Amino acid sequence: MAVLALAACKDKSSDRPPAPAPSPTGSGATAPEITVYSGRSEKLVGPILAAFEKEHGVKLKVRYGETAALATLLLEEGARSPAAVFLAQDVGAVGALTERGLLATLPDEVLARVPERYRAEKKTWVGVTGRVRTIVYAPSRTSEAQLPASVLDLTQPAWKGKVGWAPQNASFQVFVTGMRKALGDEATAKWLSDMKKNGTRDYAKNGAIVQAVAAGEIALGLVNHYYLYQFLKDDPAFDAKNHFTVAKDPGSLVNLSAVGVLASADAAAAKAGTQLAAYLLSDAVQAQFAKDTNEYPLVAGVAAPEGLKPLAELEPPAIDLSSLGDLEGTLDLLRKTGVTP
Amino acid sequence: MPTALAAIGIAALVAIPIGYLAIRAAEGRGGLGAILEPSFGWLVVRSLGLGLTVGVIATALALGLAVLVEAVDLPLRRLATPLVVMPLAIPSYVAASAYVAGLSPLGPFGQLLAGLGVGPVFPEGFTWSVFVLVTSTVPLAFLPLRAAIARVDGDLYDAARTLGCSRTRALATALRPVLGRAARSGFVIVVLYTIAELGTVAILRYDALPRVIYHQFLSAFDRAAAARSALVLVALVLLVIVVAGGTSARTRAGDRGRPLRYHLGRARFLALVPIAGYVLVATIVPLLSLVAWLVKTPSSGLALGRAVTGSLHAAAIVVVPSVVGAVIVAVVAERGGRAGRTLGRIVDVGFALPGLVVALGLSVAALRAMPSLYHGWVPYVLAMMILFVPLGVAAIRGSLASVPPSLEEAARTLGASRRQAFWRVTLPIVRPGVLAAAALVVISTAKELGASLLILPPGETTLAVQLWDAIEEARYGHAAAPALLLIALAAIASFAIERRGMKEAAR
Repeated sequence: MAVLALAACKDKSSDRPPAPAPSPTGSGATAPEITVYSGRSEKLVGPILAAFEKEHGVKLKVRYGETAALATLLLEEGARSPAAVFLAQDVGAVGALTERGLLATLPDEVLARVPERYRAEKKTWVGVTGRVRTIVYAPSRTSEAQLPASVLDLTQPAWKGKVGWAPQNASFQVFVTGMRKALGDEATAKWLSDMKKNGTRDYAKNGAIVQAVAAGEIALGLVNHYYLYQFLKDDPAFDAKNHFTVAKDPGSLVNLSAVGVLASADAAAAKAGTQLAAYLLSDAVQAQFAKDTNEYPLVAGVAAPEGLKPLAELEPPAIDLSSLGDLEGTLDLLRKTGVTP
Repeated sequence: MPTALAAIGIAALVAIPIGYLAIRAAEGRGGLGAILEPSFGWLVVRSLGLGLTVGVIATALALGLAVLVEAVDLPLRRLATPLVVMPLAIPSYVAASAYVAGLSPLGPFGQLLAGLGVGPVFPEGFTWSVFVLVTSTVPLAFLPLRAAIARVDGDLYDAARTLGCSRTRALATALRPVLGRAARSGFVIVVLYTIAELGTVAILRYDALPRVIYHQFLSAFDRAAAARSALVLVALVLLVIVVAGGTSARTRAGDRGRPLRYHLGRARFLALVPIAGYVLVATIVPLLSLVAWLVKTPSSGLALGRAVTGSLHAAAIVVVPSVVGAVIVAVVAERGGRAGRTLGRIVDVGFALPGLVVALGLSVAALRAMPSLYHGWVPYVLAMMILFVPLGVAAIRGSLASVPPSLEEAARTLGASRRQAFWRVTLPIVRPGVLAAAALVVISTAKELGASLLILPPGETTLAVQLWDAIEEARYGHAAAPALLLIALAAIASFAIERRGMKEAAR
């Protein structure tokens, strides 16, 4: 009813002479405000966004949440979304939004900040940081010799009930999408159901997996590489270490956090949103990501986090990151194999 | 008239989430018909199976405990009831959190087990869900049963004995007429609670409907699936209510002889064992676990400030519309004749609805009708009203019933307008009820989990949400502080209500 009433108001007002357009100087004087949906936590990106507000005179309204939930929200909202920018944990969510035509194309000078394989073929998103899938383990309980060479080995009886994963987590889901690309749906489905049969334990969050490994609740956990360092910062003796599986293993996928501007944003908001994307790719912010969160910077010339192999030297499976947008297919597979309800 | 219209408006609130869920569900793949898919059948079996199992076990245990507390000459009898009812102050998701934290390898009981050479125990799945939910819901079934037994006529027992019945048979004869009804109403309350509860099954990783709905809301990518599951859950709740014929536990307060006291003799002390056992698993173990984690994590109090201010903020926004709504509904239900009573019953339905479902429906409604409202307080406040106005109504109706309408009529013959009569005469008398309603709403807001997780405005938090976040991240130490505070709040509330109840009874 209210919507109808509003629509009716609109019709009536269109009879009147159009209101004078705001003068360019007038709109420049007040700080523009845009809404950002952030699938990355406030703790990680809050300070960076605050610095952007200060430097660029743009006010940000940030809604933090899970990447998948925010992507779902954007789909529900469609063209009516208040959001101008989406910061995603992974390329699966921005890929899925690209497929639904919800993201605008970014200008070439922003895209060109990162190598070609770290941005969308359709130019709708650009990678901000890189993260590697790893297996976290506790050196005091599991020796290096015991560690599996590939994630495919985790279905063996030796690991029964000793592995943890986070099937509701966006990073895990994009890892599964990558595995589907590398091995095909059938082999992936078999791996998933074998893992489930092998008593792999569900966790809600990656951080919980790392804790559970250090505490001895499980021996191995499938996570992104950088969670570990948050714990090591608080406690240098924290009993956990990252293990990288063999070259080209689906378990060593390099994934990205990414940013996109919504197609539904008006011109002013889109402009401010593009500024934010460019800001995240500035040398200083890229270096800050490497230092504060131990993620890989994607811009050439910015050094990798301390103690980590440079991104170029890693040997992830040969998967085109722009092809990882079939999140729905992955969710279907997770449901069919009973990994998620 | 405006009062009646407002009351109708509040009753109609219940229809908004359900209506929008139906609309949204119809749009998904396969439309509404997809509800008939076998996967939904399994979900129903799992949820209903959990509900009935918990219902049967909790009611049976509660019956046993109620007989011990009320019908035999138990030592320390006065202490027994508060001890058995104490778990009411521990929301079941808090108990679940406490068991998960306590049994984790670094938790107090995990370390104890490891010392004994027992590998890690993971409290999860059907069995653990039944266990934790039973420990939390026994008091819900216990209270009506105890009240019923307290009304049993001891003379009936004596009569049966003189007619040659054995002592056990005579006891059964005396109890049977009152117990059936009380047991049924306790059972229904437990089943309704269990099938609607999100936190416990999510923390204990059992795929009952609420956990599945939450998962679908977060990451199914198509909220039609969540809407369908939510409708199935609503249908299940309504089915239980209809089959059971309501939950009212009123028993005749007829004349009675002396209270029943079955003499156990030496076995009296043995009768303390089941009560002690129940107190141990339902109260002592969870509290020990939480306190141990709190002591171990000195920094856990730090995050508490934000949770407390967050809870107060949310409560401050919710409390006025909820209490005003409750007063309006209470007046209409109490004074509005048959139509008023029906209206009261419609409002009551909101209390039985899972918070998760209400929130999901309201989020769909907001996104559809007024997207700008989605990120604000409106959907949250409406959800809390649907869930908690019935609580407030119950608190206010009691004191309202004690005000004879003739009092207001007298005021009116003395020249007061209808409104003046209400404000100057009736409201001051029902003020304790209104204050109790406000307190209940404030505490329920802090405790509520399912709806808060979905539609609390971004950046806001409550004690329950803070506890949930900490458990999801396995930061058990940080879960301990909000958990213990929630328990303390609920304990204070039930103590205050008990005191008030006794005062009113003494009047």
